Amino acid sequence: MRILVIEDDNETAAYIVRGLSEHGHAVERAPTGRDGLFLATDSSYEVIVVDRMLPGMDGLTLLKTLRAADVRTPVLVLTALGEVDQRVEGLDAGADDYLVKPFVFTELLARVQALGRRPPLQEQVSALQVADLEMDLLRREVRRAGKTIELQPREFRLLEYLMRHAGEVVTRTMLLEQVWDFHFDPQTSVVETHISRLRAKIDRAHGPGHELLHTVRGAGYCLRAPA
Amino acid sequence: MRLPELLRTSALRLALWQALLFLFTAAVLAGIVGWQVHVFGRDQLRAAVRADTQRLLDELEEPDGERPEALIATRLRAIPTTHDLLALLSHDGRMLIGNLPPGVDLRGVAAGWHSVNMPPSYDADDSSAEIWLQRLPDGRMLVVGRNRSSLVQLDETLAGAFLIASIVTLLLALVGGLLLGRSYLRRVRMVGESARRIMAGDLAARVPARSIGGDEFDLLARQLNVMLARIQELMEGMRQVSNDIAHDLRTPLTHLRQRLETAAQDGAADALRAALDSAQRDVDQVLATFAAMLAIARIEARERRAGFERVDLSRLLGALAEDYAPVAEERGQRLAARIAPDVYVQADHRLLLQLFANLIENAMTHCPEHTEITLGLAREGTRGFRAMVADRGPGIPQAERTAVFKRFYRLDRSRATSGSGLGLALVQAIAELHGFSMMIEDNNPGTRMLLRGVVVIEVTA
Repeated sequence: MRILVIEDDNETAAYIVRGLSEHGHAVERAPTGRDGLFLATDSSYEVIVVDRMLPGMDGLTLLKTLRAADVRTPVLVLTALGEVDQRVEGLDAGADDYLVKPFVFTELLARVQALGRRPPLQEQVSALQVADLEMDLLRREVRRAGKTIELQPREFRLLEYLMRHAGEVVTRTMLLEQVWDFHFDPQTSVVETHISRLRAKIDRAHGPGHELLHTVRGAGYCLRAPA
Repeated sequence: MRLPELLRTSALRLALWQALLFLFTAAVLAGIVGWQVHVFGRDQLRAAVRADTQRLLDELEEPDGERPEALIATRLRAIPTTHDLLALLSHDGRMLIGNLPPGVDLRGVAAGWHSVNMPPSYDADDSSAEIWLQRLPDGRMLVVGRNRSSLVQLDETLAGAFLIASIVTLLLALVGGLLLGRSYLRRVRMVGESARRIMAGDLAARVPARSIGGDEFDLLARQLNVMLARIQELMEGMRQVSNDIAHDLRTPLTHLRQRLETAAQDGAADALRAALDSAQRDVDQVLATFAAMLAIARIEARERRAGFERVDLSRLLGALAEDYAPVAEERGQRLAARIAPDVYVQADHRLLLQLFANLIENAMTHCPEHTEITLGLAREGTRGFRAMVADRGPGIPQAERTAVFKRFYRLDRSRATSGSGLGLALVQAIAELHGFSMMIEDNNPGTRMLLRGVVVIEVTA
């Protein structure tokens, strides 16, 4: 993916650029808001990562200008600790996701990849499918290999999110925010417990080698068809 | 107290304006009353003149009556003063007999009411008289009149009274305004004095005020004091946070530094790896603590009820119970829910989630295995709700039930467990933001965390 990173702090920028490059992405970096705006409008990127606080032109202004210029590239906003309340402001300005600094790199990677794969228009789908796992969103039914699986409401939402991001790594934080609306870090294993229950329901009956729900060590989870 | 400042007080200005307004009103009133009295007096005067005239005419008409000249001459002798006028005029208006003052010429004057000026020498008191000219059957003219002095006296008395009243009013207004102004100044100075003390650093300074009743100054002072108390609270909160940061972050940072130093000296690859791992954990812990503290500070600084929406508390708690029941099960505990339906509150959905998640997790981490934790919600009266997270765990000693809501407060027995010691402080901050009250009760045995507040009354469309 072609990714633009707009970040003024050299160390943070180097950390992001190196990490993303190592994962096979073509990364360009702009140190100021103006440079970033120039690059973002001039070339085409699949994802833009922008720091909220930038010298010259701050991230939100840049974002608004971009959106006003009809640049629809998905944008991930990085905000410093203590600015979380401004996430609403960021999302209003046209951001697609936000991440609080300091972050673990895998979190950034997962979110950037999720944004890059996002379909340009959120089309209304009524059914999702990953291998032989099917989800009917209208009747709220889940089947695997034709056999109905009973899910609790939360398990259904969890599976729906995983299926919508099939093949991608989703982090624990992404699940907490999107599935639970928890914008804090729980001290207990809420996510892990529900993942293991879900895994038991969708994978256990199908034996080793046929698992769909995988744990990605140190990063998160991934729902994908067996190779 | 310097005079110029006193003269500039709004109280004095107000008093003087009021006095002016009063004077204007009084002048209008005096004018109207004066005119009425004047007309009334004149009518009285005329009535008296008419009565005199009638008596004279009656006497003249009597069959054995005297001739007019004789009658008038008799009458003139009975008038001791020049107060009343009486005269008989010839056809051409010359005075045949009478006491009209010299210079008064009534030639060619028709019958009826007239006013004549009196020469100054004739009557010192007055300069005019009201006279009635009556034509007699023989064609001559009878003149009957009365001096207007009584009328003028009445007018003068009224004017004098008004003048005195005006002066007294002005004086009273001035004195009253000065006194009032002085008292206003004194009280404004008291507020100013408090402000100066606060600016000088004495945050505990307050504006003196009567606690109950009192006037608008006391009311203002009380409101100012409430504001000052809130500001002090916020300032102390901030001071507290700085102290907490200094205290609670210094320890892990010191450890971190020691570990890194040891690792740098050691140099063995395995030891280095282990040191890095633990250093990363230390930093994560510090960052988590930092994030929690900032979260509390932000919630405390937030405008009350800004961005609130109607939240279905029953649903929120129901979902939390479903989310945490399996977690409890995995820990060998049990989470039971007793939730009344359709309880709506005005709240921030995410913060309420965090509040209850914190309470539930708190109960889980502080209770041993096989403990039952209950999540409950009930209506209280018509307007209230009570939500609780109760456990059968070790409980919290009575003496520490308020303290556990403070930042970094940890019960002795939970020092060993993980956690930042900020969970309940955050809970308290969220509850306060919502105007809900948070308290701890004994669950005999165990702890009952109780949140009470006001529900949104259902509006039936």
